[in-house]
Parts: sequence; structure tokens; C-alpha cells
Amino acid sequence: MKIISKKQLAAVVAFLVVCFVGDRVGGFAMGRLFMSTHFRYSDLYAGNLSSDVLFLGNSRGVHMFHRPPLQQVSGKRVANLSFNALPATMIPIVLEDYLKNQNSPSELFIEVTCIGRVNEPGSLSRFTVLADRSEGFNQLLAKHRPKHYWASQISHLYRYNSELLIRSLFFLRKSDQDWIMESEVDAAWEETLPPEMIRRFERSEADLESLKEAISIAERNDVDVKLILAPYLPGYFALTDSCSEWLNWIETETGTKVLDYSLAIEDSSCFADPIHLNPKGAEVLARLLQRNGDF
Amino acid sequence: MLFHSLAFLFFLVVILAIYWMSAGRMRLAVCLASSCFFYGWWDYRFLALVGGSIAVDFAVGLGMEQFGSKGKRRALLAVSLGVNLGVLAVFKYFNFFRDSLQELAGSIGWQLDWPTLNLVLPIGISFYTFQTLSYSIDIYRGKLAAERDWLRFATYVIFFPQLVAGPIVRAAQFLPQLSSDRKWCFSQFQKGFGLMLLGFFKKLVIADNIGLVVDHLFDNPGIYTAVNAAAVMVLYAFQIYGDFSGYSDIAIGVALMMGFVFPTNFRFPYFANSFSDFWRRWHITLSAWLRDYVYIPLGGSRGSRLSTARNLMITMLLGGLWHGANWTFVLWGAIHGVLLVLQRIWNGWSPASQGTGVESNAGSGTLHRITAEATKMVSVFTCVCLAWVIFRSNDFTQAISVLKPLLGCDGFSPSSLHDRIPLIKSCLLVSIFVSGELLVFFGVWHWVVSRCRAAELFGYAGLLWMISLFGSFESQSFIYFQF
Repeated sequence: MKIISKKQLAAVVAFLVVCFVGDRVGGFAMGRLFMSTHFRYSDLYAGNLSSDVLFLGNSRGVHMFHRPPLQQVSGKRVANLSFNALPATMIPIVLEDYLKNQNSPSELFIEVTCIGRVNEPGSLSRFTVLADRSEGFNQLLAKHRPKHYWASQISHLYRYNSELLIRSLFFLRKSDQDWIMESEVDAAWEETLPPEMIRRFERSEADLESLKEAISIAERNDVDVKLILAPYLPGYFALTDSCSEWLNWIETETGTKVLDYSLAIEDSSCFADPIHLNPKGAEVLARLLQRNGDF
Repeated sequence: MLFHSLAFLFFLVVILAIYWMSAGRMRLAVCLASSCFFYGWWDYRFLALVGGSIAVDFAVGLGMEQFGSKGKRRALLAVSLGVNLGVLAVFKYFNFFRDSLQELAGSIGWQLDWPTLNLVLPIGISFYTFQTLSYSIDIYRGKLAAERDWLRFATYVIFFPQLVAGPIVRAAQFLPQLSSDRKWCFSQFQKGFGLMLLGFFKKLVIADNIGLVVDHLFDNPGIYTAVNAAAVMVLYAFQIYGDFSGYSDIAIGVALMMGFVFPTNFRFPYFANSFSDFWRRWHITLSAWLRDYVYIPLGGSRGSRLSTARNLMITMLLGGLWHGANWTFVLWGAIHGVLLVLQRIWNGWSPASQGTGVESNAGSGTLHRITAEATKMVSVFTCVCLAWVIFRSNDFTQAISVLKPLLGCDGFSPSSLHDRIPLIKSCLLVSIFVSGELLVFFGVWHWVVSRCRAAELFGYAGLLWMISLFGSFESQSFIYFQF
């Protein structure tokens, strides 16, 4: 029985070729689009993020390390590579890639709440846009999320199936170093706060290892490392527990003091929500850091 | 196993290869064995349940053909109805009616203490039950000859592409196709593959991306502005459409790759210009089933206006209840019933005046006609969207809290939008999807393909590229699996 004619076979082969070529061309185009933006990770790999002080962390780092007030109070060049839900395992990768693409900064601040949840390798898959830019990330992805790793190897378009690509498009013309929520926390925040949003300061050995690795990389490159706990809304912080034990654990294990600014700001108008500063709060914090000699 | 899983893709490749390499009864056996494997993957225990349903209806079918007397045939039909609906009632509705009766009794001071059944709802039970019932009823009505080959009948009931979430395929459509080996046809295989790709696109790109946004609205509706809530409600309409029609496309596409032609289950439902037209476009096999086995036997529109209205309401109430054991589904069905009745009142009561989906001749001038049609489509779509909120809600309280923001006059500002990035992404994807539907609806796509065969190749490739770039692969189950 003749299953397929030569013409039909040619059509199948043509289809596969078109799929492959289109995927590669599309991936290339998406890559060029991503790199043409001024999103922090685009600027990182384009070598456009030289700084005197580098900041790393999760969304609290995004809001705490707000560039305009920091540069204003210190006169130093500041670069923030924090990102929402940045996995701890990404911290040393991002730092290493920064040092490969830029000159070493003199100081590195790490907001420590990016560790302390049970390891979230799942959020690694959001960073597949870095698949052809970061060998360290590829290894991490292969180890923790092998399906996403192989998908990003087979399909270059899949690499850009990521929140990061869409977010980068918001920064086609302007830098995202000014990215911060401008709202003020709702007075009735406690009534609408889901219980799962109350922070539990958990000990994650895997995350701690990532933090230690980042510190080690920094020290090898003569970068002064400072660990910091950003401010919380005091009423929210009162709902959490075990913070001081958790901080002691980090300090003991890393041999590095954690600058505890958890209750440094009491004015609720400085907060966009219970755990993130707004521009006013970021400015207050910048002045506090400078006044205390921590920055 | 979920259609959009690596396990299913591997399973499909293997089964297709074995299927086309076999012939005759072996091929039927491959269909049956693969279907049993597919269904057993969920929970092998429920194979016994569907096996029991197959055995009962196979025997009932043969029995009805053997016995000439109407009384015996009616008794056998009653057995089929009793067993099938009984199983459905026990697994799906027992606890629902028990809880409802207890609440009702409690409200008037009575104490009822009936047991609760801790039973898992078998996947696809609503679908295969309706499928086997249509078989028994059609034999009773003399419209169908009983199937004498148990292998063929079992395959008809349990065939894996449509077992779990439809389309509901009538025996008259499917059994003849199972009677002889399907002939290999490359173009049919290619068409099935394309349809399957389209289904994956609708599910992974459209439905699952929108799901992330919709879930947040239903979890926390109080924080949404009117515009934000309305946008998400419209998105839900596309989520459920993408999810369900996507599944149907995959099922019909896979069947086509095996040489079987299944009926279309969706035909541009959101372009409906009346509520009756909507039900001729949405879940076509279910609405046809309800029409043929509930509405028409009740009298349809042959009696008085009051009886027509009654029949419409009963049909839609049962249609709502079929979807799930919750009063929200019943209310959703009731809303559609009321809309159909109101449409009858507005248009007149004759079936011919209920809107055929064809451009109406009301008023002169193309612009007037287009405006009139567009107004009807928007009106129908709006009512359908609002009804979907009831459908999606866990209870009336949630439905009211989700609909409440629509009453707010809080203006619009981009900063008030929640989940901005997934919302923008969803809106963009829906725009692309609707544009594609419009191209097909107005025949533009068919015109292009008829002039350039390569366009079809690029179309399929485009679907794959879109799935790679926008697909959500977090393994969300199909919405209609819960029915």
C-alpha cells in the first residue's frame, strides 16, 4: 500500500523545514527585539549597565534599590538587577554574567528575602530569554527544569515564551532602572491580606548555598558585599515571626552581617503595599543608608 | 492523560502507527485497547463502570430488536435509561440533591440526616452516558439497527478521542464508519493534523493564558474596577470557548487522522445574532442531543406558546444541570431558557423567525443591515458573557461579588488594572484569535488556500510558532473534563 506519494513526502519535509527555519528566524528576531530594549537584563548582556554599586534581590530589591534617590544621595552610579521572585539560585548566575559583561562594581548589595522560602526552581523557567546569553543559566535550567531546558534548546521561539520578553517591551525607549510601584498602601490592607502572604522566614539550605556562592564570586572580584533586609510595613512585620533567628542563621552561615532595616521606616505612606516601598519610601531609605554609613 | 501532555503525544504517535499498520478486527481491537488504556490512565477502576454501561446497552439494543412488542421494547429502554441515568445520578448528583434537600428541610425546621457518598466523579461520564442513551433511544424509535458486534459497539462508546469531553457522536454517524476499515488518505490525515494543531493553539495559547487572569478576578473580585472586571469577563468567554472548542478540535482532528469523520461541535458561536443561533453554534452535539431527546419529545414548539416556553425552559434547565451538580449551572441554564423565550416573544413564535445566523433583511441599505447584525451580535455576546459569570462561579455569592464591580462608576486608569502583563498578553492573543476567526468566517482563508496551497503549510507552521512563543504549559486540565 502506497502511504505517501513523492509530492506529499516533499510537502511533509517542506513543512518541517519551514517550522524549523521559522522558529530560528523568529527566535533571532525576538532576541534582537529583547536586546534592543532598556530592560535591565537586556542592558546587562549588552554591557550597558556599568556601575559603582550593584543591587540584587527580588521584588523588594526592585523597590528598595530605586536608582534616582540612591544616585542623588551618593553620587555613585547604581545598577539594580533585582527582579520579581528572582530565585536565589539565579543570584550567583546574574552576578557572574554581570562581571563578564561589565567592569566590577565596588559594592554589591543583596536583599536577603530572595532566600528564605523553600527553593522555587519553578520560577526559573521565566528566564529562558537568557538561554542563549548565559551558560550558567542554561546549566541551572538543565538541572532544575530539564523539560524547559530541552524545550528552549529545540525551539528558539520557546525561549521568548516568557514574562521577561513582554516586560522588556515596556522599556523600549526608557530605562527600567526607575521601575517602582507608585501607589500607597491601603489603610485596610490587613483585611484583604491573604494568610499565605504573611512571610515565613524559612531556612533553605539550597538557597543559602546560592547566597554563599554569590558572596564568594564577589570576594574573588574584590567586590564588597553587603547583605540587607529591606523595610516592611511595621504592622505587617508584626504578623511574621522567627525573623531575628533567621537573620542570625544567615550571618552565622555566611560570616557576613545582615543590615537589618526591617523596621527602619514607620510611615505607612512610604509603602506601596505591606512589603514594598514606593518612591517616597525608597528616597527615605536611601537617605537612611547614607546617614548610617551603609551606602 | 491530558491531550496537551507529552504522554499523550507519545501515545498518539504509537497508536497511529499501530492502527494504520493493522487491518480488520485487529484495527478495531487496537482502537478499543488504546481507548481502554487512555481512560484507565485516569483511573483504571472506572473502566468497570463504562464497561458495565457498554454491556447493558449492547444487550438492550439486541433485546429491543429481538422483541417485537412495544411493551417489552419500552421495558428494555427503561432498563437502559434507568441504569445509565442511575449511575449518573449516583456519581454526579446524589450529594448535590442530598445537600439541597437538607438545606430546604432545615429552612422549614425539619432535620434530615442522609448519608453522603464519597465518590469520585468518573471522567467523561456525562458524555458517554448521553452517547449510549442516544443509541438505545434511536433503536427504540426504529431509527437505528442494533449493533451485533460487541467489539464495534464497545469501540463506539469508549473511543478515546471523544470519550472524555465530546463531541457527542451519534451511533448512526459513527457505527457505519466502524463497520469497515478506513482507507488511508493523506489529505484527510493532514487535515486532521491541522485541526489538532488548531485545538492545541486554542487550548495552550488562548484558554490557558486567559485562565491566569480570570482566576484572580474570581478569587478577589472586590479589588477590580468596572472596566477591569468587564474586560476579564469577556476574556473568560474566550477562555471557555478556546478550552472547549480546542478540545473538540483535537478530538475531531485525531479521529480524522484515524479516518473517522466526527461532527463539528462549534461554529463561530460568538458571531451568533440570536440566542437560538448561539445554541446552533455552541456545543452543537449537546444542543442537538437535547433538541432530539428532550425538547422535541416534550412537544417542541408544536403546541401552544406556553407549552413551547415550558419545553424550552425544561430543556435548558436540564442542559444546565448536565454541566454540573451546582445550582449555578441550573441558573445558567435557566438564564438561557429565559433568553430563548424572550427571543420568541420579541420575534414571534414561529421557528422560522428565530434567526438563522444569515444576514437579516430588516431595513434597507447595506450599512443599516450591517449595523443591525452587529448590534444583535454584540447584544447576544454581552448576555452570554454575563451568563458565563454564573457558570464559572462556585456559588451565587461569588457570582454576585464578581458581577458587582460592573455597577461601579469608578472610571478607568491603566494603573488600576490588575495583572497588567497577563491581561495585556491575553487581550493581544484574543485579538489575534478573533482576527483569525473572522478570516475563516468570511471565507478569506479558504479563498487564500484555494489559490495557494503553500498558505496552508504556513498556516500550520504559524500555529506551531504561536504555541512555542505564547503557549502556557502549566498543565491546566480542560474545563469540560469536570462535566
